[in-house]
Amino acid sequence: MKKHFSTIETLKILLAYPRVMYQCIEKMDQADDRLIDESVLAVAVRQHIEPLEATEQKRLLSAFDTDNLSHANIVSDIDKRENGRFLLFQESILTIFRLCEASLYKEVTDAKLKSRMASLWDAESRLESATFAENDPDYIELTEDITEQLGQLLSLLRNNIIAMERIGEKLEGMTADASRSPDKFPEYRQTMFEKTTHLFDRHIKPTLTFLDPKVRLLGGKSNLFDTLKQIRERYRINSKNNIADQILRYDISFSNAFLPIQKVERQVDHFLRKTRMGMLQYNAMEANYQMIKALYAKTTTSNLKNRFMDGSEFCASSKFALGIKQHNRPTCYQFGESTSYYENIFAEIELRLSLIDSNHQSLFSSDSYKDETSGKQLARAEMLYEWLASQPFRPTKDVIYVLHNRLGDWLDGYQFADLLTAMIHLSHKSKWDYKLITTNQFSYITIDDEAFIYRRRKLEPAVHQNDD
Amino acid sequence: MMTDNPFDKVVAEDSAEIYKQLTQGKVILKQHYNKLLHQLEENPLYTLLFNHSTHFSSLYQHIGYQLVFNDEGSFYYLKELHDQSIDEADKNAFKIQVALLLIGKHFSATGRNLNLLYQQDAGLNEIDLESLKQDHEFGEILKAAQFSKGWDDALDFLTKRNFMFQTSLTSWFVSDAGKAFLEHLVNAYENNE
Repeated sequence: MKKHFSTIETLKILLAYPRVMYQCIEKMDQADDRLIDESVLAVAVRQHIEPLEATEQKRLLSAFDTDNLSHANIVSDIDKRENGRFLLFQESILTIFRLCEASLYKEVTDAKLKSRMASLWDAESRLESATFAENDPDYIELTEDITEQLGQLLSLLRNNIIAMERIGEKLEGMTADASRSPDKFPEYRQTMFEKTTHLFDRHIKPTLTFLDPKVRLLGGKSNLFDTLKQIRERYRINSKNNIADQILRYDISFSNAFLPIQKVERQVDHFLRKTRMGMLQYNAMEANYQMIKALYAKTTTSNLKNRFMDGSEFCASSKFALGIKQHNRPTCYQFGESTSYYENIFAEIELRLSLIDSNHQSLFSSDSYKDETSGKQLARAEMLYEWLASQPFRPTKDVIYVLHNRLGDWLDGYQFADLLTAMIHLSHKSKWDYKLITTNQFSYITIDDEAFIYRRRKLEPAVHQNDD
Repeated sequence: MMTDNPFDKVVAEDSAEIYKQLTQGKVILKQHYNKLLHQLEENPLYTLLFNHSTHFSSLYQHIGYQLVFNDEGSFYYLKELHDQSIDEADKNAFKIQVALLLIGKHFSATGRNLNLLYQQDAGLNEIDLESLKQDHEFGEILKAAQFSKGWDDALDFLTKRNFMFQTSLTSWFVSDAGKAFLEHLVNAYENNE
């Protein structure tokens, strides 16, 4: 008997090799079925395990085994038909895979939307006789039912929009051959019209009508937005403002969904009016855009370094403007021959000579305006070094704090720079009986009105290798 | 007997101007947009390059470059002869291609013939720019193509290199160089390449 995995483990493996399920769902959708053919699944698994190592192959075979799938409750039923066994996967599992692969989204059909609408009407009528009392379980359940219905409806529509926004790809696929051949174009045009019209009538139009706030339904029934409004009013009258607000937010989300679908509708309309040339251009742009999108998709993996698209293959096939870039031009030395140029040079040389004569400290800094302070800083540092040499040290957990205290007592006009100078001097000190160890603990000191956060440095006796 | 010196036949200032533009990463087009007169006109630098192409090719070869001529779009650009940093150069080509493709895709998806994109009095306008900027997916793709500031960056990149010309603060059209790329895509698609 093969090993059984828990539900979460099985699901993990399913998700680690998503192509297997994608392939099965695609086949299932093509066959207009609700069940996955066991043999199709087996073939898909065989295809995908081929390049894997033996142990991993075994792991996959066990996970995708029908017994394991049904044991883990991922398959809820097995239907034995004439042409083999068919597996009914849990709807939630299929939803996850459809979520991960946009091409597997199923467009919402008119019938599905109508049944959703009917259950909203039903909820609304039940609300008429509800008590609106917090301790009435019937009322609580009804409210839960309404919000759940709205949540589901919204995610259904959102997925539908994503599916519709891929319309460009679909139109390209349907008309690729037609646009490429000028002779057969008129002939193709008819079938293309039919296909496009079908797509439009069966999928785009129902959703568009469903979300159109101005639409009137047969039999005087109220449309989605009117129904929502009535439900909201009932809660409002009964001072259930929280729930009324929540429903209002759904209302807004539904109206936001209308615009993108309208955009798709316009795109289809434009498409149907195109000449062959226009259609060819449209298809060429769309096909290349899909290639770029595939490159982009590679940047959305969990690898954080992988932020930019790799265009080398795309460029290699287009061969356009390869190697174009800015080039550095040679820069020239700015020699001059005019009198003023030489005067400038001599003036500069004289200035520097006089500086050397007047104050040898300026050798340490070429910026003349800083001369005074840098000279003072040098003197100060030298004083600090002498003082440091005279200081006794012992092992401590926070040498910076120790120095900070001693310097504060000893030095007039003690500044942060002094502490820094002292620390740098200590850390570069050779042949010292101690060594400095930087820790990962943080601490802070205050000098005047400023606080400084630092990493603590320990002072420990140094162990010299040639001690013995 | 003295041999003919090809340098004598070219005005040095013009050659220097060509060098300047090429090293700035621009393409030199047959037809250039005159911003002051708002019209396309013949580019004398292109004519010069074209008439003395042997001279210029060997001139640039001697200093380590290759003068590339694109006959589909009638333009010249400069590329290093033995490019050590081919990656960066290809990155630029890719950026140009991605930005042009997105513009082309937007144009055809809004029901217009791409030929309008190449015309000075049509091209890309404020409304187009607004709708390009609103497309979230386009924005993400531009970022992944290393246009960190999105469309402003991309349009700037294209105009600086003469793949597009800017006709006013909020209008642009695609030059013959940009057109060559989009037409190449359409032709390749038609021939199913």
